[in-house]
Amino acid sequence: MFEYIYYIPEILTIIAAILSLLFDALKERLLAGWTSIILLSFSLVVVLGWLKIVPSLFALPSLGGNGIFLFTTLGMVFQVIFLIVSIVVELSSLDFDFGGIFYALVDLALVGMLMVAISGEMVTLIISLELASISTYVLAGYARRSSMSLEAAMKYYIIGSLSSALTIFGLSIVYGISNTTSLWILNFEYGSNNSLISNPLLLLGFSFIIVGLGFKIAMVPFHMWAPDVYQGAPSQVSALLASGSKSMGFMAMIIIFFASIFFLGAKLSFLFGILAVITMTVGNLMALKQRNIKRMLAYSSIANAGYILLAFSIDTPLGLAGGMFQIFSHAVMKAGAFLVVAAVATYGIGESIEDYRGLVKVDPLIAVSLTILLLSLAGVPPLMGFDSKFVLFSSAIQEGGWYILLAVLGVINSAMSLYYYARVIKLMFAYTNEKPKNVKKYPYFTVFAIVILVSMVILIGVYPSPMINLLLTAAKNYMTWI
Amino acid sequence: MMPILSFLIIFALAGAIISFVSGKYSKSIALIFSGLIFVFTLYIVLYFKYGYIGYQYMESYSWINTPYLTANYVLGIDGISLLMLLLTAFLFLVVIIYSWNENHNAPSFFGLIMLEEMGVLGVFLSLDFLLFFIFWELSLVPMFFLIAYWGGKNRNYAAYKFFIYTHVAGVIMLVSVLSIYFYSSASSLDFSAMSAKSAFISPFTQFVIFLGLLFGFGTKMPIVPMHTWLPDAHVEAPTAASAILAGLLLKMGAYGLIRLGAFMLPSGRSAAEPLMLFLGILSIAWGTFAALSQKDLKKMIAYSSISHMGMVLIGIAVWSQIGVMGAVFLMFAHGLVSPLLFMSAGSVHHSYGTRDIPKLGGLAKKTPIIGTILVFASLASLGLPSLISFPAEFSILYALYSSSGFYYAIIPIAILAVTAGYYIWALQRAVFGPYKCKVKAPHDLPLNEFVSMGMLVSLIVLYGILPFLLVNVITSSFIGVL
Repeated sequence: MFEYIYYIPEILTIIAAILSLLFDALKERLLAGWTSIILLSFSLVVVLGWLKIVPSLFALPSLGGNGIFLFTTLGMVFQVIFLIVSIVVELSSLDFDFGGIFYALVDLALVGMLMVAISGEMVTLIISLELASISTYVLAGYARRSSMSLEAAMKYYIIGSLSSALTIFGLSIVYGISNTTSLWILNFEYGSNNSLISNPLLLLGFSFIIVGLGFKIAMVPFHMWAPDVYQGAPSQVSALLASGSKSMGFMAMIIIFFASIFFLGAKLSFLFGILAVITMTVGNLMALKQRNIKRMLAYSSIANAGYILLAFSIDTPLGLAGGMFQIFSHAVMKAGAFLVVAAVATYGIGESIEDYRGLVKVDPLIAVSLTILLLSLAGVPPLMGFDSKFVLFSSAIQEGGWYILLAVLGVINSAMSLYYYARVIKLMFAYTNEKPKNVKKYPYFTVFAIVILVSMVILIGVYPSPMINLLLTAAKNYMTWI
Repeated sequence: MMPILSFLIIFALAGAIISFVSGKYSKSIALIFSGLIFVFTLYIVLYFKYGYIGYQYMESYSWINTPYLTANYVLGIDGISLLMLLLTAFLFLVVIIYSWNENHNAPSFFGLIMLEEMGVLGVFLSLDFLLFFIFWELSLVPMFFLIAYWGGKNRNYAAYKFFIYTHVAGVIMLVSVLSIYFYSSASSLDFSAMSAKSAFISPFTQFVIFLGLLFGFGTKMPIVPMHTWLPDAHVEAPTAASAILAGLLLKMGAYGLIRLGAFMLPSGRSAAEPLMLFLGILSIAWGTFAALSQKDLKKMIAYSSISHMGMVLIGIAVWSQIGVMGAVFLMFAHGLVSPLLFMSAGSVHHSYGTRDIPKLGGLAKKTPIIGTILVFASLASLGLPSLISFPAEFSILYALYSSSGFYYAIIPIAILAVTAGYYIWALQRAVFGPYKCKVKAPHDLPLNEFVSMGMLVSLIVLYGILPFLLVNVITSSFIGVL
């Protein structure tokens, strides 16, 4: 069962990468960007068609696996996230004259992410993860003249290699015990074979995987790289890392742990609960005292990883749906926030939070957009960030028992986060005597991308019903499938 | 039937948006829209079916419909919400007239006031928890900005403290209500759907959930261990915001405790009754004795608000017909009296440049109208017969005496004597006696402030002399419950 139709998004993205390189050689930078954006948008329409959100261009024959790939609704939802993030990042890059190689690298990273979303087997998963990671290492150092960017790239490269090594080592232990790389077969084997479950090596293997992927998603205590890298990298790349790469890490974790969580059960549930609480608390506490907006966003991204990890602890279809909703909303909001930083930079405004004083005078549209994004990140209704946290925490409450404690800690953390978001908002609307600054080249495309993301935040926020239903179906299918 | 309740909310939103963009006409816009809301409210009050048991003016639309969670857009009012609606519409009109001379960034000021009106109206009108929560959170944001930009010297601290306290309280309330929803497996988040099933939750669980609600709503009311945000917020807030805060935002807490706590969790409430009585008496005592030692007029009024809300809590705790009637009556009464107090304190500040009681003295000689209104408001607040607070406090104390006996009732009654003491002592120092202020020729009330305070005074007298106008309206709304 190998049909090309399944791979249309990946194939289109690879074509986009190759064409971008070609146009870069011909010095046609804008053409490279537009080609990528159009091909990626087409892929997005295709995937949305499969999810029955827009009229379908190519009918998807059936969901299922072929040993290497596993096509699920859940994977498609993640493909949508990756595509949206990449498209807005590339749109924003049109303003900044990054060159064709930039688009090619983003496209290649995207291919890796898209393949992670459909991989059903360990080796495919590793290859896809590596493809995405290596492209993003280069992207983090894309601002060659900036020493911060180079430091970020180096740090990200070293940490990333270590995390890959740990993940691969963990997966190799699991393979050594089970003799299969297919996560699907693995689950059926383990579901019926008690002697394998009681093997202590298995827990060791999974611990390595948690650590390895924990680096990717910036889980405490493996989060140290994130603020430095997000701060040093160009803002568009930070958006790609915080939104795309992190969601990819979570997709990999869902593939591995939701396949295995049935037989490891309570042990992992407790572990993930503890990790979630520690991650969200440390992220929020550290974010409180940041002076640089990109570092603040990085720590808030760490805190969000904590919220999402709750889904792994709760381990019900509703919990998974809540986790996916949180991943989706976090990706959209964080990408928007980093693009705002990029857009504001064109006014010559720095990255310190204090520099944002009186931004509403400089550019009301950007200031209001950032306000909406930050309020949504803080979980203020009726925005998307509230809905996703609502579903996630209510799934914990539905489980009862100690999950209610997790939910309470989660909402208190969420309330705490309001403090550092409100600080930025308050500064932006503060009264200043400065006159509006002139800008050489208004970042139209970045602002357009921001407006798209903000309207998603508002629209899905006000009417979340179809989104919740889609995610719930995806989660239910996924958990009965595995 | 006309969706008249939605109109109110839409008017407030439209008023806010138009005020934000209409420059120097913003205050007229705010006046027109709040006047329109008041006229519609009068229409509702006139055509309200008194004596009818159940909700009226119902509007219901399907909103979020997922397998695990259903929430609808439901608006409706009963006797309690009718009073709160009348109070809201009236008070916002009064506040806008009072702030007619606010010139510092007027478009934002009046826009935020209208936005606040939308939030408060939504809280009192919605009959679905998710909708209720959205409006609840929506009412925080404008108040935060009002304190943070138009406040006194220490406004930053006060604004954040207000925001964080009430937001944490809000999310704890969210968790508690979601627990009601999931433990009772109600069909939707509608109040009626939840209260149809919530009584069947086991008594212990009800008690635990009720404690969560008591924490959430009690912080907003505020009752004593969680009250510290209130004096800070009041002292720093501009007069208009203080009036709204004391008149309406505190009532939201008590309203929620009645509607979501006591109506839905009967066994939980009766188990928590001793605790509520204790906290209520503690609040009365704490507020009164703290008020006794205050030098700032506004801070003294803030502490007197705490003791009044303690009285409301006692009424809710006793939960007899006359007790709840008294609690709601006192909410309405305090909603008229405390804004009058804050406004007169604000006028004192305008005229004399200070609110410190020791620095004032002999106000009555130079500014007789301000002095008269301050004396009137203080007498109304301490419960002088024939003014509005008296029937309310009398019914609560009567209910407390008949349910808990002499020894419980004697404490609040004894403390009421002290209440009279601190008001009269403050009046003696500030209003009467020799003239001590440095201001040579203080101006008396401007016309707009006189009109707004006059409106409050007339209602205070009207309902003080004719309390039966309110009594039947209130009792009809919980005949089926008690």
